[in-house]
Amino acid sequence: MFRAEKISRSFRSGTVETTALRDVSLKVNPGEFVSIMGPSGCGKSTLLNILGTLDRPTSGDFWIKDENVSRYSEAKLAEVRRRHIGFVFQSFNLIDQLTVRENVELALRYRKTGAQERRLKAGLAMERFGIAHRADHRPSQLSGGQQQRVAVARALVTEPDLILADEPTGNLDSHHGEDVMGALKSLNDEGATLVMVTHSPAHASYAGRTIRLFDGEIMTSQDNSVSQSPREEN
Amino acid sequence: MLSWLTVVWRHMLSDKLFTLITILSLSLGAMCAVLVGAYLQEELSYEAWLPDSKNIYRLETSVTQSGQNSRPTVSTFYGMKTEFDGVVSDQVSQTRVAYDFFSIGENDDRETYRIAFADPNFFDVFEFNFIEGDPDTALADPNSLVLTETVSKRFFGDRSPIGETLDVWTHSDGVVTAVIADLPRETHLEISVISHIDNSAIRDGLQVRNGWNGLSVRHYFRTQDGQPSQSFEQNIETYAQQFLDKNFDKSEGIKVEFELMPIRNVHFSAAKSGDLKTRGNPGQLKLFTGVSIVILLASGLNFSILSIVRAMSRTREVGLRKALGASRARLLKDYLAEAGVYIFLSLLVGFAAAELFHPVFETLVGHELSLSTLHSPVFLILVAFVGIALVGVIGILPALYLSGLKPSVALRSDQKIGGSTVGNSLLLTIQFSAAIALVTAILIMFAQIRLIDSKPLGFEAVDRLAIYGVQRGPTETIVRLETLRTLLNDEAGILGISGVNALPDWGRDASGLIYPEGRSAVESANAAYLYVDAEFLKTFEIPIIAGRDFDETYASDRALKGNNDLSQLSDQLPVIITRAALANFGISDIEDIVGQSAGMQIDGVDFDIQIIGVTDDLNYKSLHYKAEPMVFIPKPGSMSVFLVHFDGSRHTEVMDALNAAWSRTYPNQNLNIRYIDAELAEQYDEDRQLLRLATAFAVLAIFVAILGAFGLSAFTIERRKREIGIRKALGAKGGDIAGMLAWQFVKPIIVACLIAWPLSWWFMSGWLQQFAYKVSFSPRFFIISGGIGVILAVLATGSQILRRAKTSPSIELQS
Ligand SMILES: Nc1ncnc2c1ncn2[C@@H]1O[C@H](COP(=O)(O)OP(=O)(O)O)[C@@H](O)[C@H]1O
Ligand SMILES: [Mg+2]
Repeated sequence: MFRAEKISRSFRSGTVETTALRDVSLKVNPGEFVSIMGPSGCGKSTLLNILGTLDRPTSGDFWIKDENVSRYSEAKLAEVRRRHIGFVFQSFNLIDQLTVRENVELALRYRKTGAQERRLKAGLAMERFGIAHRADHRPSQLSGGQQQRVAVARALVTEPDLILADEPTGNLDSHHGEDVMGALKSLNDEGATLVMVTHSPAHASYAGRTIRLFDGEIMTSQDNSVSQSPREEN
Repeated sequence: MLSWLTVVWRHMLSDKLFTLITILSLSLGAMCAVLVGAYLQEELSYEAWLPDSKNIYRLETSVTQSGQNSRPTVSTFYGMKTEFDGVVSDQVSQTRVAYDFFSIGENDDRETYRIAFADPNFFDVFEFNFIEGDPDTALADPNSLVLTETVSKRFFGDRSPIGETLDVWTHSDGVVTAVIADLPRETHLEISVISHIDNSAIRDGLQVRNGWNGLSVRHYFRTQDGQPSQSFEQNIETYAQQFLDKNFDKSEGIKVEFELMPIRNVHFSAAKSGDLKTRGNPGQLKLFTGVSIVILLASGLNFSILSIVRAMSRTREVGLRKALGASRARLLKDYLAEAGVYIFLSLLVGFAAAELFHPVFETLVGHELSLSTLHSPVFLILVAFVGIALVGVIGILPALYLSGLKPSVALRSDQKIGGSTVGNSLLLTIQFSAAIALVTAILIMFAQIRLIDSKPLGFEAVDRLAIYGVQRGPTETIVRLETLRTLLNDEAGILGISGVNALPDWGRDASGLIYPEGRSAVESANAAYLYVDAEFLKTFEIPIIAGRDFDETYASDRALKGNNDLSQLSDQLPVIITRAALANFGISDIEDIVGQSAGMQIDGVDFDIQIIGVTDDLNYKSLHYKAEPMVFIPKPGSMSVFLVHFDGSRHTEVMDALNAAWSRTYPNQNLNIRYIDAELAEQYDEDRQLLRLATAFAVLAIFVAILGAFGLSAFTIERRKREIGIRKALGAKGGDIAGMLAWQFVKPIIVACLIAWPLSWWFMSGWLQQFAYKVSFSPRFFIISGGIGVILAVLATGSQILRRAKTSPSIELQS
């Protein structure tokens, strides 16, 4: 359903060219939960950005359903993003001038959802992640774990086909980290498709499959269902 | 110190855009302030060049006739001087001067000047700069002539004119006794030729005009320093009233009031009848001072607000310095000093720009303006103080902000995402209010001037020219006009020729009194009058709406030819009046007035008239005034200009024919012509000049506002990069982002409109007061100015907005 074929991405700054991804092919099926691991700077975020259509590959193709979006214009990509994608970031990326509710509603706003429906959906999403009582607070008044749950609520409120999470627990202590992982797992259990970057093997094991990136290339792809649960290892 | 300066210098270089914007706008503000300062200095220095001017007074008179508005004039009665001989001691000198136009020269080499006829002690009061001759004896003889350098050069070149003769019209032989330097601009006096008050050219006229409306001389007093001015004023009052008691019949219901006006105050007090020069306009001066202060502050605001905005990216530096132990006071001092460097550098650039744009500014204000005062040490000290004050006003905010940051916050990496601040909106609001108010004012001024240009005046000015310098003796002038007419009669392109004593733009306040038959001048009303020949109305295409035009086939209309003395009339004089004059007769039907007999008084001479025709109302004076009642009097002997109506499409032929005929009529005299439409346009020079100045101010204000808006967009949008990335990740399109950012800049402009509109409405309704015919405030002016404001704001910020809207979110989200 989401299919990357031999995508490469290189950056040029001045005369220096960095290749962040090299001939990466990856397929994500509906309902799958994929985690991506690898050392810092190996291209995880770059890959996630391309999957999320925030960026385009330098070469190769990226298919969403039957659409090859790898050559789409910025405006068309925004369209694709609206229809298919939800994001959760490491640094939460909530907008400080907006309340929690407004942050959650923001994604719906760009989809021209009516005010009433917006309020209803955002309410349900906040309810679900236990932040409804904080709806009228500013993000800065919330703990890190709460902020990330707001971000998760914001990502799912539009019912995207693919939720991308870039180190969603990276800025959280272990307690809050578990909290957020629980939320993501429950989404996946309900059928949502997820791709998550993480440094934590424990959190990676929530996923059905773990891909290891090294220096822009996929080294291994491991099916977690056949291995021992890392949670039990801990 | 040096190392600190190096650090500041590095800062300036590292943020070139900020440095450019702030220094450019601050120096524009400074330039504006310097130029307006010079203008202000000049306007406030009227008469200051004249020795002892603070002790010189002019006695001014205001006459109120029963039931009419008072008429304040700058003159007083000719005969008052003797009355004051009692008060005038060693301590006080008094002198009089009367002005009238005469042509001087030899034979046909003549020029018309407004000659000042003065008492012989004139130079005791006014110590002019004598180049040749002796002030004590210069006016000893009634035929003496004192010339300014320019006039002397006109007739004698570089020769000494002392002892040379020039005749004054046909009255007398003048003998040049002295040459004085031309008077500077900054005076209420207008002096080109001075003669004796007893000169025969004027003596009889002055003595005839001794009635209550004979306010014919300007009367000056010069007191000595330390003279108790209060008792002096009281004395003057007492003697002036004594004069009235002796010479007036109070039962006539006339009230006369006197005012002793220090000449230093003349320039900024209300205009009075008899002014020879346009007075200063204190309102306008205040406005310009205000506007330039606003521009200076607006440019300063660019510095404060942009510093703060930029400071947000300097928080780390502050955090580090604090962590290293710098106290708040220390930081405050450093940042203030840094502001000082920017401000004084800008003042320097501003000064240089003022010197550079000085000639442009001179064209804008319409006259030369000396910048020499700007080089005086006093002024430089003043500038230093202004600079320090500016540092205090505009440098303090960013310095307080920066030095007040808590190091723990300042060092945090996760700075808040996005957001506009109140300060940003405030900057835009203030700057655009000024710009929009000025633009509204300009639009209204522009519409007013268009209205004036297109308003029918009641006569045709296009394709009419006036020939100057035609006046000879009364009979002689008529003969020459006849000659000219005969010579030109059959020439193609010449459509009509006539003569008149005053052109529309002369702003002559000559009015007589007109009253219905059987009454007297006491129960009369004012009416302006023109001395014309029989062709005048035809030449100007002034339509007769009742009765008839002058026609020399009528014996009555011929009667005045050659007779130039209204007091010698034996029959009723046929006259034509304008519709507005009807009110003076209490008759409403214009047909009824035709044939009526009436009385008229001009310069104290009463004569009988018969109304033979009525024309529509005429805006013979400028449109600053309402069309006034007018009387056309057939008195060709008093013509001072000839009028030619010609075919504009045959201009060359017309000029050839005119030149040929002229050289036969007035041999040895140059043909001196002016086009009436051009002359009329000149009446609004001052209004146009105000428009030009306002436009210049608006351009500056707009430029400063655009710099501010551009700077804001450059510094704030950059800071919202991450927020914008998030929004894009959530599905916002470029258009959504652009709209959102643009709205952030447009909102303050809308607030600015709400401030600017009432301001300009209030000010412009004041300005329009001076016009008798004014444009009405249409919403169009306000909508256009607001629209211009919005468009400018969008243009100024557009490049930054577009850049942000187009950037890929993956870059914006990078931490
Ligand atoms: N916009 C960019 N310009 C230049 N180089 C970039 C850019 N984005 C990422 N890179 C480079 O690409 C490589 C992969 O970066 P990234 O995907 O962020 O790594 P990861 O998320 O795995 O830490 C790094 O070497 C990084 O420096
Ligand atoms: Mg990364």
